[in-house]
Amino acid sequence: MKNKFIEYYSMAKFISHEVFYEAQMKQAGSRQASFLEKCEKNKKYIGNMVVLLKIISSFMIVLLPLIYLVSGPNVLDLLVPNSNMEITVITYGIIFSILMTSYLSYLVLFGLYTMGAYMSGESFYWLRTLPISKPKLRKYAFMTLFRSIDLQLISLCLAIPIMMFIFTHNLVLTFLSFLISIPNAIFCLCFLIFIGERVSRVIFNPETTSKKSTRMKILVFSVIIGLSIGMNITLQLVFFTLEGTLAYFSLSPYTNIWNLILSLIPYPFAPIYFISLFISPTNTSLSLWATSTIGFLLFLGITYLMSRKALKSLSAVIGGRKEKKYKRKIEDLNIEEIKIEVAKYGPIKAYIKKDLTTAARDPQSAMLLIMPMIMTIIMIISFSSGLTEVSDLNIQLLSFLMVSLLIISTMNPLMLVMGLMNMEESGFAITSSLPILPRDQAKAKLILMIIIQSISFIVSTIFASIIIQSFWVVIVGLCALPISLGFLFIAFMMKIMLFGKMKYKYITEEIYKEKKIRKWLLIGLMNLGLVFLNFTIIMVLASIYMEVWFLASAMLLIGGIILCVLFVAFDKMFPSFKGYKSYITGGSLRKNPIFGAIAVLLLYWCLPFIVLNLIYLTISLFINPIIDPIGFNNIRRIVGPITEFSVLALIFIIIVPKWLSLPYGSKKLNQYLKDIKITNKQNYIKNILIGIISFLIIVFSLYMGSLIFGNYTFSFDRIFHILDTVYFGLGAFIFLYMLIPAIWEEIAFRGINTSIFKEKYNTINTIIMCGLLFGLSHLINFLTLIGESPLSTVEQIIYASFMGITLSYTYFKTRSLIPCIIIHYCFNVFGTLFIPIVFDSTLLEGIYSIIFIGIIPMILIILFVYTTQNSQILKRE
Amino acid sequence: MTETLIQVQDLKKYFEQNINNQHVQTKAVDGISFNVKKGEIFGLLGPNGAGKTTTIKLLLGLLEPNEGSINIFGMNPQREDVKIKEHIGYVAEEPLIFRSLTTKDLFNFISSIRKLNPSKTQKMLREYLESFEAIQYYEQILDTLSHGNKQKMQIIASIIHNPKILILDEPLAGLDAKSVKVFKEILDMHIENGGAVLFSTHIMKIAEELCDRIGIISKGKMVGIGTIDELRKQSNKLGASLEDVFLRLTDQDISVMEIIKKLRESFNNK
Repeated sequence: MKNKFIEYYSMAKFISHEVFYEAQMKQAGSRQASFLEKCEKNKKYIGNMVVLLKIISSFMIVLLPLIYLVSGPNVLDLLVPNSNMEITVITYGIIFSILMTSYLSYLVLFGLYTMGAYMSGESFYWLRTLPISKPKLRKYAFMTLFRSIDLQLISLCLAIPIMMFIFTHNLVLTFLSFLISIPNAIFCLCFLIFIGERVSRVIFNPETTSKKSTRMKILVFSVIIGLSIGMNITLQLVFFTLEGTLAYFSLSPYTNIWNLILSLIPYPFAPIYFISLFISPTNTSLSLWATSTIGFLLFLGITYLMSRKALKSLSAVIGGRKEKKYKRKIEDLNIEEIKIEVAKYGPIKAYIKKDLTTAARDPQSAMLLIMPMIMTIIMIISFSSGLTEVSDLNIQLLSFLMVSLLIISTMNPLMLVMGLMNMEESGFAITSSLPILPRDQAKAKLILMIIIQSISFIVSTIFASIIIQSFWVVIVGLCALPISLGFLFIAFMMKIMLFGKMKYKYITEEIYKEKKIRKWLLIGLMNLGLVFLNFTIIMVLASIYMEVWFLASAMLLIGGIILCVLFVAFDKMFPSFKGYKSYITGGSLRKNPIFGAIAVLLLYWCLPFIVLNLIYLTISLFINPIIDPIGFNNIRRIVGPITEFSVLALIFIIIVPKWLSLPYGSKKLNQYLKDIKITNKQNYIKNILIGIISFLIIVFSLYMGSLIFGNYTFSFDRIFHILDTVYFGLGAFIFLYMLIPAIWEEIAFRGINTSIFKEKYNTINTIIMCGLLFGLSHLINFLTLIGESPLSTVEQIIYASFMGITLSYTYFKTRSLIPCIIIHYCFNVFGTLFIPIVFDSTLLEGIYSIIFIGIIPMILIILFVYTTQNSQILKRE
Repeated sequence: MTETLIQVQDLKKYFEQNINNQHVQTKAVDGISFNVKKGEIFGLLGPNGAGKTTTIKLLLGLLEPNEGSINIFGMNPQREDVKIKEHIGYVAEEPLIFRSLTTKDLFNFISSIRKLNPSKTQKMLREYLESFEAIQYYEQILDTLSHGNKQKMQIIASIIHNPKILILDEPLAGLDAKSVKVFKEILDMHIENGGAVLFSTHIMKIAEELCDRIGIISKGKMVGIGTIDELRKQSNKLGASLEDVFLRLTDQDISVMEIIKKLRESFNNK
């Protein structure tokens, strides 16, 4: 007997997996292909999922209500038996009925689909083709049912006794509640079977195609989603308001009448009433004994009747599909009556229409479109207590922005992109053969997403304005709308770039499906990072000027800029048909060297700036710069250069070569280093010597100039003074601060910019343009102005341009970046350390710096480099 | 001198696969060349997994080739797939034609995207649906149709705009005899009007019956190309059936004999 049981049980594994597979397939809706892919990739996928679902659902059944119960205020105190038995009984009755209802709901929630698939009987068709007798088949069927939800049923049987024991420590009660748990489990199972039967009729019956069935499908899905989201919230709400409810019942003069009525209700009250009377059996009125016994017997009777009926439907499952009579058969349709109408829309409208019809008939897609709105409202409501606690309107607005931006900007775009971008899978044969412009496709998708995102954002704003009771929320929300749309755009375009980038175009379909999780994570993290960046900006702005209108207009401005940039990017990714033919992805930075140079410069300036300020901001959270300015500055001086160096390294070792594909397309690191002439074939010793001698030429020129125009004054005192206040010591100054511009500016201006300019212009133009660019890039010093006058910045721009020409020439002639780095480095270090010159007037200083730092070294070094390189050529010949 | 509509030169497509954490490069298409001329039905014949479907996907610009060139109406499908697709009809191996749309929705969508004339399309659609005996499914959701009916819808979707080239990947799978007959007639009319057909199948009889020229693919390579007579010559099997020629060219004739021999032995020993 026992062996038989085990045999059936182990056989049931395959059928129950089949049932689960069937359920998952139906649930996957239009995403069946990706579900199949998962199954293909991981052979144990189904098995693992079955076990996972079992564990999760039994956890939900047993532990989740308990957690809510314990976290609710004073619930445990309420359960201490009161001297008044009436009050104790009603407390137990209500609390445990809530628990029992929640068990039933969780069981339905997690078992509904599997049960629907089971009740459709499809998994038994193939079994019926094998030579198995009917009774045996019935046993298999029963075992499959048991195996599908065994863990859930066991936890259902144990949940109430465990609770009872925790609350009362009364063994008799625990045992009694175990006894009533068994009929309760049977009751729940029967309930699930009935619901599963209805569901299987709607969802799993392939012949139901009417509009009504579509509506039913959506209803079922809404109930499931509503249950899964609503259950937690409802439970939380119920337990939080429990104290009040119970107080109402116990203080009401009609407590005993309430008790009598409730104890007559067979489910869920009667069984619990019946047990709780045993807390103090002698202390209760006879009438309550009578009613709860009647109620309990009624419960048993109902359970018995239900189990009979459930058994009947179970045997119908293996009996095969019942033939259903249709009012009108397809064969009876009058062909002449069918009107064939072909409508014609524009491609974008047709696409939107198709997506909407699909979403309306495919409940899962529909849910993904509706979910963003529901989620947003739930989030706002659950944060509402936090919002109303603060009295300051400005802070309320800020926190509202954080909540709504964080949730709406990170979750919703992901949901929308996932929901809307996978709809083509089931229509692959059609979409792949139609002449659809990717631009139209992307536009259609974006329009839908923008509408949903906007609606959910605006709805959340209205909700928040009701909670905060200020109209300003609506205004701030509307001003933040462009930012939230920007996040949507970014998620959308990143998804396309990661999944659908082809050689000549981007497409909205997924063609690179590998490393899916990593890619989605990247999209999510990108959005999250941007949200935090946005917060930082808002916080900084708020710290400058905490006014609502100021914040709102700043957000509008930021959002507008973001949207403009993204629109341009969209236009580049999805060109219109006219621009389509000549369009090739990538290489635009290489083809327009000025854009390329600007991109590199922007990166060079902005990224370290942003990262540094973010880090300073983080530090300021721990060390307040106002209270402890010295400590803050010290940390800043150490962290600053290290961060800057590493960010620049990231830019020029990864971002520029890999992402921007400069200077000659995306190459591997060693090839890139060769391209920018650091590790290419060269005479290192000679190039180092050229660098040093060129620097000496500059020193000579500087010294001569100082003799003519100013007074050369040198003092160690001055050196260390500068170093200590500005640079944190000589070592850091020499080996950290000055290496940053020397290495990275040389790579940027010589290694990359000259190389890309050279592709389009001739050598002389390239050298001049790159020199001017180098000079003009010092314009940035107007912004930072570290202890310098604007005039000196102008001087710097002029002599740096000459210097830039010199260095570019050296770079071309020697075919090496090494001398450039050496010249730059030595000039920065020793120029600052040893050449302090005092001038009588700013005019003299200007003339000096232009002639003796700019022009004379340029001429001399160019002559020097020219002779060294030419002699080499002569030698070779 | 007939016009060449499809020109494929030395086409190669490799897939990177991750099998048991090892990167394996499979050569799905490994240097295929062929032409399809105006007014002919060109058959791509090959065993399962030979690279037929990959070739067709490359032709439609759904995949990017690793090497080689494709020319359809003098255009490159990777760049100008939209222009090319305006004059192409495609029947995919699997009838993936939007599960949750009705037939009506589907054809509304197709005619909107293709910018077809509504009244003309209406008439054509009615005729096609009637001749395939599928008009009663006009308001049905496509997912509920049988495989054969889905295939019919797919075929109608591929011919509704009078394309110059039809690219058919196993189009007759699941069709009943009557529909096959209708479909063959449609193909004939298409050819008479100066169209071309690229037809992929693994069923010999259909290829023998329908195709003017046949290219036999095996393991990503073209092992034989030409009319049936030419193929017979290539395989040194004059007068043989296409099946024998096919097995010869794909080097399967000996292994098939061995398999059959083994099967017979084990069957008789029972």
